[in-house]
Amino acid sequence: MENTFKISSSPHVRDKRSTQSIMLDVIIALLPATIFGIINFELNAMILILTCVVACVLFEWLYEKMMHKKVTISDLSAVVTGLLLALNLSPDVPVWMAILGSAFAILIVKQLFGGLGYNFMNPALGARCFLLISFAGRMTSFSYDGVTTATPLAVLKNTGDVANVNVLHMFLGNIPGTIGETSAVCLLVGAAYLLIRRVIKPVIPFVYIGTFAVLIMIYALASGRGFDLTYLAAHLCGGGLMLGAFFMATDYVTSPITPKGKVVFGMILGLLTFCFRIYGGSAEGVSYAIIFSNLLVPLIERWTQPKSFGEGAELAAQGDPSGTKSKMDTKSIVVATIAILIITIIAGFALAYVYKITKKPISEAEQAAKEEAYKTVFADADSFESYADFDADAAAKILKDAGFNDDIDEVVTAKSSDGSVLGYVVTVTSHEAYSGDLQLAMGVADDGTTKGISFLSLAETAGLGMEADTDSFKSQFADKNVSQFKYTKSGATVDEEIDALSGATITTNAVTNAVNAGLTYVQSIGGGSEGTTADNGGDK
Amino acid sequence: MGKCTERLYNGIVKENPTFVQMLGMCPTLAVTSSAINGAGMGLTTTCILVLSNFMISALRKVIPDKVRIPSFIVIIASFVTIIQFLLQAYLPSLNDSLGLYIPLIVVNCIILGRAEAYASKNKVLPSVFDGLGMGLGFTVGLTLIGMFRELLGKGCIFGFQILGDGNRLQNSSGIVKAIGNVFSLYTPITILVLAPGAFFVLAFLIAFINKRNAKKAAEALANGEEIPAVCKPDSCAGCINAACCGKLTAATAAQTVSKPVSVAEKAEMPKPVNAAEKAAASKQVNAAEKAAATKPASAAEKAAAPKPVSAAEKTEAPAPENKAADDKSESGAVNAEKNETVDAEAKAEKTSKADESSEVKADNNEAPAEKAAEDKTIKAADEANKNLDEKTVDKDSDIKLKETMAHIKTKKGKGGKR
Amino acid sequence: MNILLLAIGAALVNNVILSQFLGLCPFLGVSKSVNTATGMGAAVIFVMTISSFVTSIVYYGILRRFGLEYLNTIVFILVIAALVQFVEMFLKKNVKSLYESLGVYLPLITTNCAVLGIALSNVQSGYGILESTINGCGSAVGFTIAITILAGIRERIEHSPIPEAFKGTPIVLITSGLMAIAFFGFSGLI
Repeated sequence: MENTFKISSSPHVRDKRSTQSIMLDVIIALLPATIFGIINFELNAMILILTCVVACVLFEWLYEKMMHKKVTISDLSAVVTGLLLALNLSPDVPVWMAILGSAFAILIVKQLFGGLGYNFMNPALGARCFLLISFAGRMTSFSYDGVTTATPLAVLKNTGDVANVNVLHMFLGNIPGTIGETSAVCLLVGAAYLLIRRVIKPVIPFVYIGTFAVLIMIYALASGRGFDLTYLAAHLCGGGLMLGAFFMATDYVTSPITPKGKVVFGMILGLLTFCFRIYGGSAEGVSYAIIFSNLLVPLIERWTQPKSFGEGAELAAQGDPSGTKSKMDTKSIVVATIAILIITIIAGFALAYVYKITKKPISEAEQAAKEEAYKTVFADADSFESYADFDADAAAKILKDAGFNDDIDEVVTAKSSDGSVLGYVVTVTSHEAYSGDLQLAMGVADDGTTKGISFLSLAETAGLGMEADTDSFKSQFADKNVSQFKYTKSGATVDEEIDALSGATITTNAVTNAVNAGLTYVQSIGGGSEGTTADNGGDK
Repeated sequence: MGKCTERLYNGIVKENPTFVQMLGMCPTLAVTSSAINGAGMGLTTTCILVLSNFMISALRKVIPDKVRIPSFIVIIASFVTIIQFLLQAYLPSLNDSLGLYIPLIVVNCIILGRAEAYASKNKVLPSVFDGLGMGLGFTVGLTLIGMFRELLGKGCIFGFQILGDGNRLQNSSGIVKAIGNVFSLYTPITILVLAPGAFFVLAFLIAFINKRNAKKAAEALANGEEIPAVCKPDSCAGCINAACCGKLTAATAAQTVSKPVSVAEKAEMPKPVNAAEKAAASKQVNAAEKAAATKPASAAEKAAAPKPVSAAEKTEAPAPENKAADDKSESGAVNAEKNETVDAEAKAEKTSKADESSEVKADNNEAPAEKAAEDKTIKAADEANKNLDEKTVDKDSDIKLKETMAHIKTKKGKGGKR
Repeated sequence: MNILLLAIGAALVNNVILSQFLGLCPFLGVSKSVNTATGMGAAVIFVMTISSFVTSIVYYGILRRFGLEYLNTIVFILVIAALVQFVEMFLKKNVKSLYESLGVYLPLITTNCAVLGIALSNVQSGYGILESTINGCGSAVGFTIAITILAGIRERIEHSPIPEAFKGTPIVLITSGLMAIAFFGFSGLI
């Protein structure tokens, strides 16, 4: 095996036969995990695996035929890509999505750049992340035994308590997750096979997992868990770490050639996975870590070469080609300066004039926009007036005492046509949203009924958190007289409860807290039912 | 009036800023996440184009040459701010969706480019129509891309949802409802309205246009015809930041065929020129270059790869055709930056430098295929030479050019010292 | 700590090119080799940091003071243009070596969307002077990271058998798209 391929710098000359035997070994190594995945997830898994493999091979064949290139499907690389893609998909993924992902992997990530050996990004993972962004909801729903559940890593991240996950199951694999990632033991068996057959070198996976493990332990110590080996084991067995480290980070084409480069690569992977998992939004982090590190490979190879990186000197030696040898003498400088000054002054006056004219319409438009937002959340009101007794500091204190981190930006009273106070519209900003801040306006009637909410600023993930700005979600806060809201994932039964957005707990939590903060404030100024203070029941 | 309608046609079809010249890429990617935004941005840019072209053309005899570019920028910036106020006052929703990109119209290549290329040199009325044409062309481009992205990425057209679950069609009855039900099966591909999707859509668009242009250029060459206007350098001349704005394809590549000077250089020193082109690394291979054969070219280029410096030296020639080099060093440096692109603007002036470096490179060997290429390029050079008179090159360059052509011919005659 | 988050956010999470689409011109045009890319990146860091600093001072010290905020577009672009000129002259006289490596790119940056865009977004987001400078610097670092990565990849794919229609800008755009996908991993980090 060793003398049939020489690892050298690109471009790689690939002899079909040796590529085929390598790919065959990879397929064999993936068999345990594949079979386990089919057993664990039953029919869906089998359909997806077959779909991906067939689609990948088909697309490669089609492309090569249409572009009049040599058909290379017998080198089995398309099969491996299809298999890896399928193993990275949740069993809930519909067939057409898998086909689309296969097309993306083969056509865009691989073939468009020249085919095998020329791609810079792992095709299976590139496709998976493409699907993740395109169809966020479907790709992050993992069902097990027919019920949508959270993966163990997600549970770990949400609850922070290792006792909630069964590490033994994570090692064996009877847990929800993507088709191929669940069983650490099967993956390790496959990895051992690859190592024995010398298809992969141990450097990258071991440095990767090692760096990650060290960082996790440091984090565990720093966050007060102590030397918690169970926590470490959960992180090592969970998510796509084993699958990624042994089967995808080691891909020859998309990992560094140089020995030092491999070490650097592994370390970067470990660091990124750690950051994404602990500080990032999702519980997983391996896929993005690997494709980002793929981007760095040309640079890593360049900077770990023994050759000196001194070509910058050549660039510097080019001298001054900018041609800024302006032959301006004093007189022409003065003339030029005066000319531009005159033009600028005239422009300035013109602008000032237009500004004056448009000042009123602009502020009117702004006011109208605000009123429209208020009307959305308090339809009965006739007019809105700034709440005279609004004291920002006092409001902040009230919220802080009640345990809220939100800010009250503005309070207006909603008045009926005869001038009586119907309620209030409160604008709340929450800093707990997934990305950036979230600002909403809420209408609260005098008797404490929440009339409705409307988002003034929402910048969450499309398909997930952004779904908060849909009528189906917002109407849960409309026309309900409760003192505080609670979100639940298991179906709202009472008025106080609202259904969390699927896959967007953080956003749901932020919105609920913001609404509760607004309610707390209104209660404090005397409007509405007095109720218990903040306990929205959500975990975080 | 004929001239004005010609300007309109030019802007919308012949030299469409988005599809042909590929200018203004930043807003194209940023605001085409929905058709309305695309159209809004396009129309806003059109207004500013018209206004600034008008003003600049009216003042063209008054603005001193040395402060040309800064003055243009001030004028354009003023109009942008004015339009921004008007939008804030009367179309606040559009203002909110376009956000930061409205003030960024100031640095949109199209506006500065048209000011420089046309408005500063032509009368008021045609300039206004030129601005109108270019602006409308830009609007068409943005709206089309926006419609595409919005439809597939969100299932909406101009804000009305027609694909995907819960679309508007389902709210009616009969056959429309049935169609709506079929359409509701579609799951919007969200990535298309996000950043990566923008890149992909634009990539495929440009690839498609490249293919069309390559075919056109190949046909033209095969028939011995003139290269279509889209491949001529005039169409892109004057855009200050010609190297940027993604304008690295058919236009500049085809220049190496239609530009007599570059052809001369190419005939003289295949190696450095190829190095320069490859250093640009993004030239679309047009028909003539294909004749130059990919294999020998790449072998030659690999040998020449360690010498990007030579290409840089070549382009150090100061004072390109448009006088911008003198004052705002932008254009000057842009020319310098064109050590990566064999640039249209440094026309005949380069011949003298070219001659010098060609002597230096005299000992390079040539693959036979390149010789064939040379013959072909010299033939094309002759043809292009005939077209010289149509170009707005100044007299000196003309003369220098003709000298060079004669120089080449005699060199070839002497047994071709390369 | 907040400053660090701001910097990381500016560089990676809201990458100036891959998320905000600012600075595409040099990104596509000057990324053909790692050397020129790093040169351009260095120039951008230089210019953007200084101009964010200066424009925020001008905004708060002059424009805001006299209620002239609406002039910010014009004033900023003139300030940036003048700044770049001045920086270039200064470097040419005093730090010749730096001028030689960066000099080519400095004027390009003047009409580049990125510098003006970041300067405007600084004041739009209500950043103070320190925050504006950090944001400017962070964004420029993000620009440098992105353009260097792209250059590394472009150098590698230069000799790849890419289909004719895609050679040149299209394949670079596809690469940018894949990069944008990879950078998505950073979202939610802040």
